[in-house]
Amino acid sequence: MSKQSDLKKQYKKRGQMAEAWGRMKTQPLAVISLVIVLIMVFVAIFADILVPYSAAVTQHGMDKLLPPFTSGHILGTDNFGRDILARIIHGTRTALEIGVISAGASIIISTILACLCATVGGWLDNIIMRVIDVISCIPSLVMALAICAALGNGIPQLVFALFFTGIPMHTKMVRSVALGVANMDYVESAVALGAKQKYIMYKHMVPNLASVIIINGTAQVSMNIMMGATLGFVGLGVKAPTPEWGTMLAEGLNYMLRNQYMVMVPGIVLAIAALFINSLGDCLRDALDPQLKGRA
Amino acid sequence: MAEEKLLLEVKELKKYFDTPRGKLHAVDGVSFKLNRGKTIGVVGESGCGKSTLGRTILRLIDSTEGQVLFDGKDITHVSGEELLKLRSEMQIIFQDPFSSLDPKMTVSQIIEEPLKIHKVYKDKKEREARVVELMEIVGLDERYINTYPHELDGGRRQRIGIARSIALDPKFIVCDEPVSALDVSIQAQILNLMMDLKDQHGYTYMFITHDLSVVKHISDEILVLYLGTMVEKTSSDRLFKNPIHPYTKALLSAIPIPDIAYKGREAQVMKGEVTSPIEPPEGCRFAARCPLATDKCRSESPAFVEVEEDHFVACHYWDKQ
Amino acid sequence: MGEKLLEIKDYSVTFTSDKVDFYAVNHVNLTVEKGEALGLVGETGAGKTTTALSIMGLLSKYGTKTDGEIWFDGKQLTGMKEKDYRKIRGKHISMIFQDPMTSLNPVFPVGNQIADVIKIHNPKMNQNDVNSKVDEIMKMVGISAERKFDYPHQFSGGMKQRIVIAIAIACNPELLIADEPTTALDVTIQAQVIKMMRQLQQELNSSVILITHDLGIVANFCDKVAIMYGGEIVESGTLEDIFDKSLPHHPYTIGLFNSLPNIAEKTERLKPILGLTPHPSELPQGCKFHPRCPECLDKCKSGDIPSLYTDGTHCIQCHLYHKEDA
Repeated sequence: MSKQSDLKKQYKKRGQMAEAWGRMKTQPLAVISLVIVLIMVFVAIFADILVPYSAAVTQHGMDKLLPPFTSGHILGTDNFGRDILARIIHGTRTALEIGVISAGASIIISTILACLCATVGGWLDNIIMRVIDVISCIPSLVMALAICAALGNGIPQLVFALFFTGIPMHTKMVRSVALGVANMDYVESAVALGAKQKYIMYKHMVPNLASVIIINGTAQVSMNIMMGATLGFVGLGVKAPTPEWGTMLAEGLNYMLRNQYMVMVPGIVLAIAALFINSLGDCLRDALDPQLKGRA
Repeated sequence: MAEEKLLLEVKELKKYFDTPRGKLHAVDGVSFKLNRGKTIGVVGESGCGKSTLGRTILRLIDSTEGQVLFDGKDITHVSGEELLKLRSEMQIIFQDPFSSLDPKMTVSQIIEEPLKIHKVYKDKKEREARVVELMEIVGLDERYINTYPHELDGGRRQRIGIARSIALDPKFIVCDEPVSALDVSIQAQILNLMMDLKDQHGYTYMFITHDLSVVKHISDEILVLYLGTMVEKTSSDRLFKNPIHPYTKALLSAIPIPDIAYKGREAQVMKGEVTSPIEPPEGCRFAARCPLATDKCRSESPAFVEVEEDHFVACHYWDKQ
Repeated sequence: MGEKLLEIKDYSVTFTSDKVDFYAVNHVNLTVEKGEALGLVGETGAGKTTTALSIMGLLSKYGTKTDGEIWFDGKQLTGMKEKDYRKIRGKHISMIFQDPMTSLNPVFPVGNQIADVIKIHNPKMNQNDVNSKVDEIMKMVGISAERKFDYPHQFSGGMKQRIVIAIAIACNPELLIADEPTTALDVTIQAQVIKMMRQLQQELNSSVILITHDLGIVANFCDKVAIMYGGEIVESGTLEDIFDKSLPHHPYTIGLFNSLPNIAEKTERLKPILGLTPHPSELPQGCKFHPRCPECLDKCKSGDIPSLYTDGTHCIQCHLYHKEDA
């Protein structure tokens, strides 16, 4: 008995996560993306400790439109005299909140829908896909605009709008992969072993869909951050004093000639966030796939 | 006595698929009996319905018509707990050692899957011990216990598939071309393993293949299918010595034999193309390619008759050859 | 007979990927004479396809290192410019791939696909001549010329492979390389295709290299056989040399034959080769086959590749048959 346990221990491999990390750390891009995203998360979580919320929102100063590195404002101040850095820091929190929650929710719902389509199939697949087709006729930005306009401003409303508009594309993407997985022999083998629908979904479908889920999910996070900013830019979504990159951009536009940093800073931060969240998704997918082990 | 030996009886099994162009007759009236510990080889070319037949018997696909009796019980419509129990008694080994194993699972996770689904062991240690035992049975070194299938070659992967299939000690195993994707030298290793397992554990196999030399080696009895219908059925030795149906003859003459004594042996090359299995016309399905076909063959389906003891043929002209 | 068409001299291919070297082909020597059919036999990873692609000059340039020479019809192929190579490919040497389903372009009628090859190599030929040539070739492979307007999906697997062959022989190549041409086909269709290929070969008097793992097809089709293992040719000779059981053979050849279930007589148990084919990145020292060899000697385990034992046309790369040579 104990001999066998020893055997298993003897050939024990490192855990999945350790393996994934081992693969990831060999790739500079992966490490850079991870570091940048971790910094963003850190900033978002400890925003209040880094800078008090009041500094970003209410503390209007006399020093308006200062360029960077003047009188203690590292990134300068905006037209109300608020510290831009403080607003960027609290904006990170807003952006991640919006991006992660909306993308997470839509990927969960889409994955469930896609798995149902692939495993049950038939009429259910038909109904779900036709509804999705109808929804995806409307451009997602237009739909998000419409939902935000209907529900009013505020983070929850914005999150709901982004969540809803994300569903059609995800469901289509995940379904196409799920159909392939559902046709694999190992799924049939599980049926032949007496496994229930739910077991197959948990044990076979989801792990094999992980790569498409991760890559789509992270792409969606960055897309939703962008879309949230776009909506903020046109004055929908987040309410006015709340620090948000899109709104900051919009405000900065009016003062572009007097202080270009009001536009440049949120623009660059937005671009960096979108880029590295996306590339982190790519790298994660490669790292989590045991089949890619040892390959470039 | 004879009744006790009988494990599987298939009666007039039919499976039609709906296609936009009409009903595809994948399996059309197949009947046979299979005794415990015996192997039936099901032979035919691609599209003859041999895989569908296997899956219909296993209840992975529902049949259109007909009955399957397993262990004396009609299993054609069982469900729920009964079906679950049935699943533990019938298993399948797949052709493709790459798509039959979940790439995200380790070897031990794959082999213990059936044990988990059927909750055979309460104790995790016991289950692990069984996995190690199974690996030993199929000749898989224990050091592979935590590897992923893609790190192994085709032969070892096929051994994993076999270990998973026999984990619950089933009575009946459908082997769907288990060696066709493997290299010749590995093929022989796996065939030997399967025969050893049969001898030691008394498994009953249904061996589906297109490779006649393999089927001769492993089967007691051979059933030849052509477009979903039975063409000829007899013991493995007799089929090779005395094939009667023109299709069987053509099939046998087409096997390339690795011996120069046979060089220049003309394969009976069949003219014509395979009839479509979608809404096939009345009459013998093979008529379009048969050298002996007459108008009778094209209008009237031949009966599956016993032409000598335990030798069945579906041909109007079996005695005129 | 007797005139050399293709000669491969001490040819090796090494792929490098991720700092790991894959020794795909190692010191291969091979000659094909005019009008001859050579069977190249081996299992997955033996280097058969790499050898074929080398002759076609289709190996990827990146991470690939080749060594040795390939001569075709008095011209050296190794190191030839891509522009010159293109004139040889399809016209003088052509290749049939394993899977007929993916070798044809689904969006063009098959007749056009055959005509394309003819036009590439005979740019001055007028359209009428091309058309009649297409008709002629389709008739040669046993498909009526009326079907040249049909698309690939309208043909069955065997018919598609005939069309692939038609494309390959469209310019009467001197050398045809067929890489497992019938593996994807049913036995009865395989018999048809092999028969047709044999007739064509005799009609056109071209040379054929048939790559296969099926010794049955080799016995039926080929004049000469080369058996590959671990990127090396371990045994070669005429069909009779290889298939005559009374002659000495490489242990791998013997193992291959023993692995096959015999149709003629009932064998209780197969005698497979033990172990597994080595991966091209981790080939063993000495004789590549020694870890699986039932008659392995001490000297097989290290040192150089065993030298050839030759008996007329028959060559075996094995220590076993050398009479006490230190």
